[in-house]
Amino acid sequence: MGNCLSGDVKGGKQAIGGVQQRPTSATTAIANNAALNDAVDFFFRSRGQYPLFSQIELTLSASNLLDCDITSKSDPMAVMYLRKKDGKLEEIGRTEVILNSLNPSWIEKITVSFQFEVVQTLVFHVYDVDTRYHNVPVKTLKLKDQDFLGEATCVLSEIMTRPNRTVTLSLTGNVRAGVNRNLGTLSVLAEETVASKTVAEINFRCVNLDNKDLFSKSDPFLRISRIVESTAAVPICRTEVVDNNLNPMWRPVCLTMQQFGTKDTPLVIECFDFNTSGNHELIGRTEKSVAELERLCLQKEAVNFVYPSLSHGRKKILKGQLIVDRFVEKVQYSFLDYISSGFELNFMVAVDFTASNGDPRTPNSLHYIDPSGRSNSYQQAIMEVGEVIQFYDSDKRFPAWGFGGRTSDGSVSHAFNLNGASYGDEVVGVEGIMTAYASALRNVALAGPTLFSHVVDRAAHTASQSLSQNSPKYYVLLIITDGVLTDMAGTVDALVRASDLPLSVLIVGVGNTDFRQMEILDADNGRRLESSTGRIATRDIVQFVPMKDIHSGQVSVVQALLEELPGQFLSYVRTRNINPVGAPAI
Amino acid sequence: MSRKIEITGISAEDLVYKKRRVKKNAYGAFDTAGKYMKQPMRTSVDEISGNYPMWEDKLETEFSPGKEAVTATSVMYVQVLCRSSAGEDHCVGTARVPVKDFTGEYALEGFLHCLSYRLWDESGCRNGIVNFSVRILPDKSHLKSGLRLFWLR
Repeated sequence: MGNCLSGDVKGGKQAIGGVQQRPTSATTAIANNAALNDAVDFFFRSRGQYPLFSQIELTLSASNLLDCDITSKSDPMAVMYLRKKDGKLEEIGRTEVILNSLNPSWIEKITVSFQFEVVQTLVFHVYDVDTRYHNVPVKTLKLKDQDFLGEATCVLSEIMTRPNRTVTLSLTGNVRAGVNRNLGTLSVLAEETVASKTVAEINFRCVNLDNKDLFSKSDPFLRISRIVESTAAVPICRTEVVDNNLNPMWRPVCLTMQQFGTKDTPLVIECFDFNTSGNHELIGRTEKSVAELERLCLQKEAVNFVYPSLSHGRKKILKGQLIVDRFVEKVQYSFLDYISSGFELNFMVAVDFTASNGDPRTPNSLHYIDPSGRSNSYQQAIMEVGEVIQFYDSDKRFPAWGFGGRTSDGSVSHAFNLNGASYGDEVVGVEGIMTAYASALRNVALAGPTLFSHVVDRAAHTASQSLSQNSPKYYVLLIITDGVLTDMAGTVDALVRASDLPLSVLIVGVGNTDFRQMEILDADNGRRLESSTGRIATRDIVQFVPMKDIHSGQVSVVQALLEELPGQFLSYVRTRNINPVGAPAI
Repeated sequence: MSRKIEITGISAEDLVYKKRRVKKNAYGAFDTAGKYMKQPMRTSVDEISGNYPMWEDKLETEFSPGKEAVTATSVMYVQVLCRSSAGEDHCVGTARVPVKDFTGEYALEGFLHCLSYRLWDESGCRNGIVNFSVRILPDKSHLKSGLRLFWLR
């Protein structure tokens, strides 16, 4: 079973699904990526919405692999799986086969989408490919016919939080009948594949637009689309509507390179008159690329809109003009850039101990701890959020508080330490939170009323204390509550005071109450929170989601909360022009 | 004990003057009751954007946080005014900002406070929002090592 190609490693690589030509590897890359559904992706792209998750390319290499072949060394290949919630493994991709090596560095990269809101467990299996299959495309290899060399597991966010984005794992497994041998190690390097991080910020203005409304003036807005395949136009961006103005000026528009392609890709800029019926009337359009818009700005020129006239097929040049007041090109760092440069997310929990939850000893209480092991809503929420965020926290020490309960000294506290200690409020790990929660249920009597302001103040205090340290931390406070707020004004005041700090507040509502107040705090309708002193929240730091039915479906409601977090973090660092540690200033 | 304070007037929103939206020429002015600042500071006039003026003007001045009991109630007034074609300045709205909101009760000196306040017009009605940022520049003597603390940019 000698391998006559043993001297010709390069030839071997080319013969066996090795270094692919660019087009082929692109198709394999899409096929490799199980998390990205082409049809769904196209649906969103056609509506101008781009996916927020980043694509990660993983490069694998191994050392000290087990030698399975008799006369030469093993011919290893690695396969990567994603472990789903039910424990099943879903294959994401495979590397090529490298001939005759116990220390292979595979060239074929495996792509996976980074999703912040779930824990993505990656499982790697390394196989020795038998000579019989050496000329067969890698994808068609049946793994059970190959020799298993070892397995390794890790979580994707673990890799991303390392400074050099590499992790080295020991291979384990039952190889050669249960003898525990040293199976070697597998190294995984992760890289974000973002074409370019350039972003163009453009200030548009128009003059002399045509009047399309009867009794007032037009309400113009711009829509920018990208021309795809020389005919179809995919909308990428829309400005806000300026009411009743024929010389409108819009707020700056931010276009990422992902949206506009290259600086020379032609973009269509259309100006519409907003109608409440939804049937917006076209005022005019023009075609310019990003590079041409930059030139218009520098030379302070204006371009006239044209109106496609149906009668002659010719276009009518209008008096209305488009002016570019300002054009700035910036580099925008992504969430992963910040994380791998050393930014940490610190998790804090606050649990509702008000009497409306019901006596914890009765089964219909929201705090009932089921002896059969089924988690209650509180435990479920803590697990789901804590499991994801813990990877972004280096010391895994989480402050945990309860509110609305009567502690052992007889008084009702709205920010007592869940661990029962009088000195420190931190617990270690998500398991620490669970233990502290269970013991607090035995020692603390449920009381009331429901007030968030104390825990928000504590969280804000912790966040502001960290400002004096040299390691950049962003805090995430999870509040799990079952009821209606007693002191809305006090809570709003505390939230407004905290809105300028590196803090996000996630509120999960359990039980069946009416959570309308929480939706006001969430401020998704655009009404910024206003405190009693007249101060307005600097930014929207609250996200709320009601957890109604735990058992419905794969996608959990809490994931929807977590999806917003990278965006909130980015809005904080970008407004203050804070770059990843060590990254060049723009 | 006077410190340098840097105020950046960023923008204002939803300004209404005499029942109509402000068309143009709005600017912001920052002042304190009492003599804490050397002179009232003004941003440039935004001639183009109507009721959503954006200034992005950095203004620097000296600031003495004052002594004794005065600090507790000291207030900075932020006004948004608009200049009419006749050249007169009308006050569109005023916001009352307690000085302790940015003098380090919640965060350190040197921290960039991005603040927003509600504007009230002369008849006491709500009239828009003003956004600005304030930073008290730390004393040179406090910066021992060259290490700039991370969030204080």
